[in-house]
Amino acid sequence: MIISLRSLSYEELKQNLDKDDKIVIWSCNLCIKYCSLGGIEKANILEDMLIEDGYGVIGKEIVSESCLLNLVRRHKMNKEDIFRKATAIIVLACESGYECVKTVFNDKKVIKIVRTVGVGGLSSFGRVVLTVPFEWTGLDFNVNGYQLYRVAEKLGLYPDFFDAEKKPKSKMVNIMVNGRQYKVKEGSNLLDALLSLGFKIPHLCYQPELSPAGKCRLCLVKIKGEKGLLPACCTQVEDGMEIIAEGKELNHLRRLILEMIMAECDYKILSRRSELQYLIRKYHINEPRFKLLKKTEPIDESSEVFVRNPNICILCGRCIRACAELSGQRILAFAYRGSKTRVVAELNKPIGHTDCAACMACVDSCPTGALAPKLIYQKTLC
Amino acid sequence: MIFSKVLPYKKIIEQLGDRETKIAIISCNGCARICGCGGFDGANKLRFKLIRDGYNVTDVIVVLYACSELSLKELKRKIKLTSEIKTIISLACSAGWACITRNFPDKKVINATEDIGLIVIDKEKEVFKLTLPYKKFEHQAKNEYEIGTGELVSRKKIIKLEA
Repeated sequence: MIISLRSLSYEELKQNLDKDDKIVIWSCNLCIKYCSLGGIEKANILEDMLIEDGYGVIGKEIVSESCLLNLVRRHKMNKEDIFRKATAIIVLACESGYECVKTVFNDKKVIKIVRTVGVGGLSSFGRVVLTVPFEWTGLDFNVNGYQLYRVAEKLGLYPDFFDAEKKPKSKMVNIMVNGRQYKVKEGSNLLDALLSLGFKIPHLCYQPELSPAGKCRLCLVKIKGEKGLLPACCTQVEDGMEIIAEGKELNHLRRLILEMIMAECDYKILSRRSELQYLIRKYHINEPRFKLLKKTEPIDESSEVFVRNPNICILCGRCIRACAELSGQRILAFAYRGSKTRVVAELNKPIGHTDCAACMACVDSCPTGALAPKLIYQKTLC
Repeated sequence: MIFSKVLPYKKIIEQLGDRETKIAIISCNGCARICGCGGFDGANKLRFKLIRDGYNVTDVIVVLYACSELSLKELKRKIKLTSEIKTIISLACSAGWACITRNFPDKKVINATEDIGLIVIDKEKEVFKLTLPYKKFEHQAKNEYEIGTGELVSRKKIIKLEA
């Protein structure tokens, strides 16, 4: 994992921008996210800060791996209209990622905000440590790794993101959830808002980095004045909204939906840590009441880095959206109709025979483990 | 991504003990696979060389990211390395080696690679380019290498890239 620290203050970033610049925030979703300087969350914060200060942000681009030049080119091609208008790109990626963006967008102002300090790893607490620093840092190799705030302190870099200097003031609106008043950001996604308020709304097809699809229907909520139930992931927050997000009736419905999802897949072989398995345990379902006769399909092990088991796929479409939106490749898609619907790679080829960049965006987004990292273990028989 | 190269074979066997010691190879399937030193192919290459020379390589493991403690915890949960295995050869970058060392404190973990620097990759052109080298390899900056083997490409394919 590449370790980077912020080298630019918010004021310095603004000095690099003009008020009439049309800005795109480019955010890598890999190493830099673990260094707390990238990913969708940080891109959103920076967007809010810039808009509040009167800058024109015309887009955000979340990229699965910014150091893959071919993926950067794909993103440019897919969002040609936005990038044609853009005059400045703020890159939330390591210096390698920045080089790729600068190469592809050589006619734009490309702004780097980080300094890459070396290579490190992820500790068991999910914390990032620097183990192999670059020589210019003056630090030696450390097996246990340096804490990033210590490195930042020594090198005169910033240990956190821009919002540590100045919190963005988003426009807030009032909503009522289960009879209680709350303040949330105007226009935010209702599911995001409810989760941030502490409501444990189950969801399988939603991922903050991806566009909402409303496929799994687990996040259905009641909204006053609306006919029927609405999926929270596809609803925007509005002032004065009155929502029922939890309750006996909704719980019963969510359990029913979960049983139907379970019937679609071979739930008995789900990974213990998958999101679906977590929900099955949470709703105390031992066996679904429904059965769907499905043929067992072969496991696709053709990729060098991951395995695809279609038998535990619930057709939530997260992998398809991740492949299109984060990697920009569109290798995965739905094929066939009705109960025969399934996810296929390119023209129904084994995934290893396609142009897959192995960026792992689809694997990271899979809620069941149908796409899982490949772990090879061989014993030499003597 | 980080570019690591396998050490010369002689340097690897110098670090190994006697030929009876049971050895496991842990190979990284992330950056190291792209650079040609890790992955299943990298592990197999080293395994067969060592077996041919009489070393006792008993286990080969290929893990997605050797630099992630979570990845290694998962590995330890699924695969139990016997106490008879005294040596592990790491085919990952130095950060991966450090992570394996932390996770297998009772074993001697040998780093069989050397870090060269950071790279950008172009899968369409099947090359990667060294952009941010470590000091020792500064002279190799902007060089391009073949994906999967790590061999130097004589004719550059990624143009206009500033290092």
